[in-house]
Amino acid sequence: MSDLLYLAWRYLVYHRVTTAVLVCSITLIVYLPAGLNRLVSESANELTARAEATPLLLGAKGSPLELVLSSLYFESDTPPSLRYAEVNRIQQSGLANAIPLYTRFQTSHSTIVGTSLDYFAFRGLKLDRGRQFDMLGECVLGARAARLAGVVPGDTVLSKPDDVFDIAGAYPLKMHVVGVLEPTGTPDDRAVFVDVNTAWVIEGLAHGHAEVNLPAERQSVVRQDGTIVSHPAVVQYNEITPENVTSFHFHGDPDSFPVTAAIALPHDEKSSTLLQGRYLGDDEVVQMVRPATVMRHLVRNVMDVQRYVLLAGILLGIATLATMALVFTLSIQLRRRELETMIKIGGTRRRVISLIATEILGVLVAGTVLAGGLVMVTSWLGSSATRLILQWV
Amino acid sequence: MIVLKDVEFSYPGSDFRLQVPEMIVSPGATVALIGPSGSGKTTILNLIAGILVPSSGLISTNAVNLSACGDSARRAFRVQNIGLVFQEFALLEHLSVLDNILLPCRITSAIQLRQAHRDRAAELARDVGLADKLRRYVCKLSQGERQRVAICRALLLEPPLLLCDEPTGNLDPANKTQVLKILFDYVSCHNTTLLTVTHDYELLPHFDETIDCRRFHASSEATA
Repeated sequence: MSDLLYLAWRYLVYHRVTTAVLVCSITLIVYLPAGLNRLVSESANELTARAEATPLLLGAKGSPLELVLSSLYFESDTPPSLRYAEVNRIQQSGLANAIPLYTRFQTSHSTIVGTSLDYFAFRGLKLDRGRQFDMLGECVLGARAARLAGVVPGDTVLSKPDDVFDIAGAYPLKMHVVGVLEPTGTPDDRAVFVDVNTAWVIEGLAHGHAEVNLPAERQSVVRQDGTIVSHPAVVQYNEITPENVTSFHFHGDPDSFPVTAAIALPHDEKSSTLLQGRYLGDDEVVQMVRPATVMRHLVRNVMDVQRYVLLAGILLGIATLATMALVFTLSIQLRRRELETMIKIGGTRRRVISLIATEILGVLVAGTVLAGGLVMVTSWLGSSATRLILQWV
Repeated sequence: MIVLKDVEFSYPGSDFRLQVPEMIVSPGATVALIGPSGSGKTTILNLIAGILVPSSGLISTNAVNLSACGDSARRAFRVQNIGLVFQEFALLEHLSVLDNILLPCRITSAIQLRQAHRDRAAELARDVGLADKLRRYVCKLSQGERQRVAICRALLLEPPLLLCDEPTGNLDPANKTQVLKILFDYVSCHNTTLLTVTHDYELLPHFDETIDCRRFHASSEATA
């Protein structure tokens, strides 16, 4: 047997280009369905795991999928906002606790998630370095977000302005990094967490500026039609520090401030059912969704697509196998004299056939092993691949 | 001794018909088989080697009645007793010189490849001037070198009978002389019987005997 293996090996090595092409073909035939299956399975697990862990999600009426992707995975476009009063409404219902989420803003690399400290307890997020935010303008970064931005506690990160050509829009806020979270392998790794009030500062709903009541600053106050307003020359702060934090103040009713979603944590199943029932009215401007249901629906759709891709892969595989069979047949025809020589010098027909079978088997095994390796790599990269898919979605 | 008596052979679907009333080759003799193309020279070699089986008659090689043997017995006899050299060398391009010489051991399950075989292969290669090319692919060799590799392969198991089908047919005069010298040196040293098909009449004086295959009544039109 070792002699046959040796002869087959020598043949495959000598015809290394042909062998490589055949091995690659086999690899693709095996890998496409297996790898795709594994990728979809991993993706489905990752997608549904986080959704399963989130009981209910409140958001403005619109696409439930967009709401879930934006609020749980910090992907997709920002959904329409809802009033903060809706968060209080959940809380005041006595049926659930509510965690606000405001994901409208970004830094250069990550989504800024305006929320409350309850979010960290709910997701089981632990600090790797530093401390939690406890003042306006402070932020805590997920592990990957910190790595991407190259920051550690003590550094600062800037929010991205909405539109650089809109001088009345949200200005960038320099935020102080006070903590970095342990990696979790979830979208939380890529987020910059701030208190929802800080998100509103970025929104422009709160601001801080130089004291206009001091005698030295009187020229900063102007009188317009009997109303006293501050002069545009008054210095506006784009960084919140212990020195100027007291000058920051909100304008308007906090109940009317925006959030993009609220996670509702019902006390029990009955409370969950009752709470969902309250949002079924036609006049409701918000929707309460079960993220698990939304994601399962998405996964079903992905599985449907997978079936078509698998079918295409199988057809492609059959065509490739037929081509390979033709290649081997032609190869045997070309080697007829060589094979006859083997028989003339003492090889049995069975042994010569075994030799050819060993060569074919070698190609099949090499292709299958390579495909197996690729499937393992796909499993290993499953999370990243899922994120890529989510970005496309 | 090789004896062919009342041997008849024809290829299926062909009008070729070979009839050998009697042909005897003494042990240690060197015999040239001559005749025009299609006269049955190669067929006679294949019959003696047990590659082809006659439809009737007796073929006895070294006292073994090959025509009465089964396929595996004829193959086993061929491996142990007969060395074959072909006109177009019939080497395996994807193997090195050494691996080509050792091929009879690797392709035959009856023989276990041993170090003695490797040593023998190296010795044969040295004898024919290929000692420094053992690891080289045969496709990198000249025609003369290839034929020398083919001869080494035929001699690996030290067969008492050597059957050569136009061993010098594709060689230039210099290589032809060298290959013949190798063959005849070996035959004289080991008292080996040599049957060679040849079209080259200049070589005939080197042989003990010449057999013209035209007399074996091949029915097809012989084309020179």
